[in-house]
Amino acid sequence: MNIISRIIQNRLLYPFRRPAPPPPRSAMGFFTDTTLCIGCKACEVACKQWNQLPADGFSWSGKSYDNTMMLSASTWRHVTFVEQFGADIDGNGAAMVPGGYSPSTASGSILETLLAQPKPGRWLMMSDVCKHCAQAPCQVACPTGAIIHNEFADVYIQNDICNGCGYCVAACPFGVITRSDVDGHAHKCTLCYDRQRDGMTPACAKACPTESIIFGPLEELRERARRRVIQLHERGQTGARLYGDQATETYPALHAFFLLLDQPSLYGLPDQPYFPQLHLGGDYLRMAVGIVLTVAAVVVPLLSYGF
Amino acid sequence: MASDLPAAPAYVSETDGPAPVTKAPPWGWLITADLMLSELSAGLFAVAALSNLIAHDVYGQVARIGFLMAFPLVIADLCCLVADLGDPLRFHHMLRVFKIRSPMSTGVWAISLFSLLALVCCGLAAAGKPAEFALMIAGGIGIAPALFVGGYKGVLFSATPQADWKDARWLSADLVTSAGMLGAAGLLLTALFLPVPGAVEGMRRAQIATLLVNLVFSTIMTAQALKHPPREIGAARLGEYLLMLAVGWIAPLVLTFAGGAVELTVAACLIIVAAALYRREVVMMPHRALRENPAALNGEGWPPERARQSG
Repeated sequence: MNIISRIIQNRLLYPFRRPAPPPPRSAMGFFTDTTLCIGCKACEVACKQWNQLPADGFSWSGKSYDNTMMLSASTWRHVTFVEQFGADIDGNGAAMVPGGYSPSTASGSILETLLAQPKPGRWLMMSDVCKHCAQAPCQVACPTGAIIHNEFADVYIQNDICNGCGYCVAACPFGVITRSDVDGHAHKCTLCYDRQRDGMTPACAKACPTESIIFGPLEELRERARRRVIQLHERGQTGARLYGDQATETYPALHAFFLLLDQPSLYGLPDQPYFPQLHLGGDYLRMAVGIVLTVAAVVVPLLSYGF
Repeated sequence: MASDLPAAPAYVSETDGPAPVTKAPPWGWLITADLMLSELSAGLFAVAALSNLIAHDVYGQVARIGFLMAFPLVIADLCCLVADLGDPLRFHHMLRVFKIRSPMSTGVWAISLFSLLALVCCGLAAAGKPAEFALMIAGGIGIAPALFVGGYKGVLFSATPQADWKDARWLSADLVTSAGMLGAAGLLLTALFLPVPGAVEGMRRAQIATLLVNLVFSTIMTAQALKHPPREIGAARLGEYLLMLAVGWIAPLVLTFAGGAVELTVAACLIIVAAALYRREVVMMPHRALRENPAALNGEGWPPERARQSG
C-alpha cells in the first residue's frame, strides 16, 4: 500500500504541483569576448567539475585543439577552434601545415618566414554555450513545461519534469540542447543556477583566466561590450562585431552574447538565426486549408454517388 | 544579427570549419511508425465518420469497420510515442500544460481527445445496430480532432530550424490530405473485402479525389524542401523521388481509374505502403540534409561523415 501511495505521490501527482515561482531578479547573462579567448578550456573543465558532468573521452578529432567538437548533454561549454592562414602565405600556393610554416620554406628561419607573411594567420577561439535566448524556441516548444525562464531570466530545464520528448533538440537554432543517452532527459547549461542563487559567479566565468567570459547584469554587459567593440575598431580590428546583444527582426536578443571578429558562421553560429515558431500562425492556417480540402475531397465524391 | 561592418580580410581555413549548426532530433523509426499509425487511424476515423453521416445506408457497414480499426491503431500509435520518449514513465508530464504555441503540446491534447472519442466510437461500433445513431453523433464530433491529429505533425516539424523541415511550409496540409487519402484507401479495401459494392464505388471516387489533392500538396512540399537550401540532387536521389511518385501516386491513380477489384486492391495497398515510405523520408529529412549538404546550412564546409546526430 505504501509503495502504491508513493508511486501515486511521486510519479503521478508530483509533476502537477505548481509551487509559486520565486520573485524575478535582475536579468543576468554572459558576455563572451572571443578576442580574449586563449583556448585554455578552463571553462569546459570548470563547468564539468561543478556540474559533475562526465568526460567525453580522449579521442583526437583532428580539428585543431578541439576534442569535444560540440555542445552536448555532457558538454555545456565548448571551445571552438578555427585556424586560418593567409591565402598567399606560400608563393607557390601550397597549403600550410597546422604548425604555421610552409614546408617549402622550412629551410629558412621559421620566424623570419612567418614575419615575412603578407597576411599573418589567425587562430580564432570561442567558448560556446547555451545562448539563453530572451524568448527561447526550446521553451516555447517544450510540451511539458519543463523548460522555463528562471528568476534571472535564464533558460533552465527542470530535470524532474523533462520526459525526453526531444522537441527542444529540434527547436534550438543553435544546436545546443541534447538528449542524454544515459538518463533520457534533455540537458544544457543552467548558467550555474545553483551558484547564482547563492550569489556566486558561474563556474566557467570564474575560471576564465583572461576574462573572455564575463558574467553580470545584462545591461552592464551590453554597455561593456559596446565599449569594447569601439576600442577594437580604433585598434584596427574592423571586423569586430557583437552577436546577439540586441534583438533582430527574426530573433530575440541573447542573454549569452558574443563579440566576434568575423562572420558568425565561421564560429559555428547561424549568420541569421530566425525564430522557428515565427510562421506558426500561417502553418496552422495551411493545415486548416488542408483539412477543408480533405473534407471536400471525401464529401463531394461520396455525396455525388451515395446520397 | 551580426552588424554590417566590413568583413575581415580573406583567410583560408586550415581546418574544416565548425560543425553544422542545428542538431537533428533524436527521432527515428518509432516516430515514423507514429506518423503512419496516427494518420492511418485519423484518416480511417474521419472518412468513416463523414461517410456514415452522408449516407449511412450505403456506407454504414464499412464505416463501422473503420471505427473498429481506428481505435487499436491510435493505441498502437500512442505506444510508439511513449516508447520514443527518453523517459517513457513520464509520458503523462505532457498533460501538465497546454501551450498553443507548442505544436507538440496541442497535438498531445488533440490525440488524447481523439483517442477517447475513438474508444467511444469503437465501443459503439461494436455494439452494432442499437448504437447507430450515437455512433453518428460521436463520429461527427470526432472529425475535427481526427483531422487535427492528421495534420499537426506537419506544423510540429515546420516550426523548427531543422534543414528541409523549416522550409516545408505546406507539410501540415500535405500530411492531413495524406491522412484522408489513407482513410479512403483503408475503407476502400474494407468495402472490397466485405464486400459492399455500393460503398466500393463511393470510396473509389473519394480515393481519386484525395489522391489528387494530396499529389498537389506533396509536390509543393517536396519542391519547397529541395529549393531551400539549393542543392545538387544526385541522379540516385532524383530517381528515388520519381519512383516514389510513380509507385505512391501515379500508379494508384491509374489503377483506381481502371476500377476492377484487383486493381483497386493493388492501388489501395500501394497507397498505404508508399505513405509509410514517404513518412520515413519526412522524418529523416534533417538527418539526410545534414549528411548531403552541411555546407549550405552553415556557410562553411564540413565533412559529411561528421553530420551531427543528437545523443
